[in-house]
Amino acid sequence: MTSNAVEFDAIVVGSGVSGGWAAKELAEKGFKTLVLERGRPIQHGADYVGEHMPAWKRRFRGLPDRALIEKHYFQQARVPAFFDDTTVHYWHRDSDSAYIEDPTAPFDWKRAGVLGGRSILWARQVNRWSDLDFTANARDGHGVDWPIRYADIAPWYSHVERFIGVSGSREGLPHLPDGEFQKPMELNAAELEVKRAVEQGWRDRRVIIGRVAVLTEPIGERMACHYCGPCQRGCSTGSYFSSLSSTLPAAERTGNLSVVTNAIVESLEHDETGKRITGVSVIDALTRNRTRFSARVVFLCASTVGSTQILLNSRSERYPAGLANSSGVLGKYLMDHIYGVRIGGTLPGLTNLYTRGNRPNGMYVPRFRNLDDASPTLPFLRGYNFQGGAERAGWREMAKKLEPAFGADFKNQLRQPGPWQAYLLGFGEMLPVAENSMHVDFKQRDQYGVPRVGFSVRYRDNEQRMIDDMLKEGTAMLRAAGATDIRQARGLNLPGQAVHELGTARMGRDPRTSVLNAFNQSHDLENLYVTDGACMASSSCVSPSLTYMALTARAADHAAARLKAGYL
Amino acid sequence: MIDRRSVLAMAASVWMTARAGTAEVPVAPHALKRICDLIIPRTDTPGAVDAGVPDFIWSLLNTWHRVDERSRFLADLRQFEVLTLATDVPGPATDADYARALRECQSGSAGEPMQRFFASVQSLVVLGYYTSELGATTELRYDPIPGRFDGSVDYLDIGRQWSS
Repeated sequence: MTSNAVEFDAIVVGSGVSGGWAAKELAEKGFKTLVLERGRPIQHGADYVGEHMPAWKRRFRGLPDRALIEKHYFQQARVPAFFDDTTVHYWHRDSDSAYIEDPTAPFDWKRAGVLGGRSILWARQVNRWSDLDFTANARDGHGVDWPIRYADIAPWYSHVERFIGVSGSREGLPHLPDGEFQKPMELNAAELEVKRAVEQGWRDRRVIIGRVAVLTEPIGERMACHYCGPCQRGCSTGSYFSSLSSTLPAAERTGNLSVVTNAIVESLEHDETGKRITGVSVIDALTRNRTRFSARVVFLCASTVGSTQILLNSRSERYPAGLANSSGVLGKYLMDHIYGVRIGGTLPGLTNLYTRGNRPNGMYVPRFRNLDDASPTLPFLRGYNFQGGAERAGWREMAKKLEPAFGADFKNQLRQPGPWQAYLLGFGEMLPVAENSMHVDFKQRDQYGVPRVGFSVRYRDNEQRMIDDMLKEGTAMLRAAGATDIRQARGLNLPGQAVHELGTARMGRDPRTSVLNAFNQSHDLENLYVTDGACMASSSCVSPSLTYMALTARAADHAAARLKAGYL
Repeated sequence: MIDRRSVLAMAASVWMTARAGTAEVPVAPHALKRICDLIIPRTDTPGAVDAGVPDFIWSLLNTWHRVDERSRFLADLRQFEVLTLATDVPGPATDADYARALRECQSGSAGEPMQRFFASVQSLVVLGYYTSELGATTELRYDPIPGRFDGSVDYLDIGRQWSS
């Protein structure tokens, strides 16, 4: 393409939670917006082929399709996280492009391969961060200070929550601020027992229903949840938030949206001053043809790793170590949440009680460690939370335990649900460390000719000591609830497995030590914004997607003002 | 009189040979059906054979199992048939022989490999039955779109385990 005319007001790279929000906000503000998505196009509803599929219709009845995995999904299938035959069509095919694996520092990178990205496949937990999180780096000196505080983002949390729909309970916790909630889902009978025991045993601990981007009340055409259970298969009633059900249709309604799928963004080009992006270089995944698009402003929302991959691959004389990388920190300070710790036990009694409906949510134990500087001294910095729940054991589990193990009595026993089982899963904050990083290897290219990504990430002492504490405290809480037969698992605990990867193009106050400013705008290039997980300066222990969405809406507002004022 | 163990060995080798070649044996062997029926029999609700579990397992063996896993399963199944005949009473194996052999497998008295075989075939029968349409809808409670969530309901109002 030779035209130098600017074709769009804005280009958004990626269509997941962040890209969808950038597209909606920019299009609604009147800007001609192009979304570039490297994945395949899919239609809301029509392409949710696994939705409500009964077990007897599933290929191999849910057993993993090992031949398919070995051929196409050898990296994606490694972390269970919703990968199965009912969702396989949404995932990235590793046979198309695989990341480089380092056996000495394994990192799992889960990627979607369709329009809407991982917004289709996420676990939908949406909690606000607080100043406990935004001041963490400043207080203990790890990482650089966040250039924003809770007050800067709070109105944007509200803006996002009202649109996506969040069900949850108001708790008045300063470190887990309440939001704009629809009515909460219920804790079940056994979870209420856990709540009672934990809140009686520890004044500083709470057990609450998860705050989740699943509707309990309708919003427009999106209906309240019908409790079929496995959201990740896709929801044709739009009851959970995804780009396909929510933001992209909103952007579409403005008439300002264009979407190009199968569009692999290879790199960005800049002008002679090095201060402006002039073009986006794209490879068509089907034809391998290269094209170029241009716009007044570019939003990178290609996911933490995807966005930084594009920047690292955009080398020039002005930016030999990667675009927007004057600071030299691009690709560094990669984080995830500690994930893999599981404590489970049997709760005796309550066998006269059961549940109706498949609640796509669980119970949540907000962080209770290191909440203020007066906390007793612990051998680790920062904190963790638990997601969890309780349910009655089902036939899969009971069949392995019953005596006799076959026959009419066996069958009759399996007809009943088993005892209540409670479990807690630890999610811990990972410190920002420069050596935890990603890179692109110009000597190893995928079939499109794009340099492949590699990782060097390890949990270190602080993370290991936090895991020890999770196991101890999780066990104590289940024991207090009366659980027997308590089992602990430290888990593999490899970075990437929480699928909360974040960092690598961090926000900060100082252009010498950060990539982005307080509005997610590049310090180096004024018309470049990065608003996905790459922007994060610390990890908190709180699930990050809501914060990506709020930061994206806030950045879009900033960019809109600059565009209207003629600066961009 | 031909020794019944020899008859069995011949019969077994016929379908083993067929499997090893390109042709697939279209139907599940009798011993597999007996095992399915013993693990989940017909009671006041349909059993595993009613729900098509033998064919489900046979289809898995032909499409899902790796070659070495399939060979091991088939060899174990043949060994199981030998066990059913390990009795002084002449004639073909009776239902009681199959039940005794399965108990011996489960308890470990038939050896560790056969105990593993029991665990493997039991988990396949259980999977096949409770994920079958008959098993999920008649033995368990099936409600794909409940439309609501109640966290504390009287179990007697439900009466069975949910199928999901």
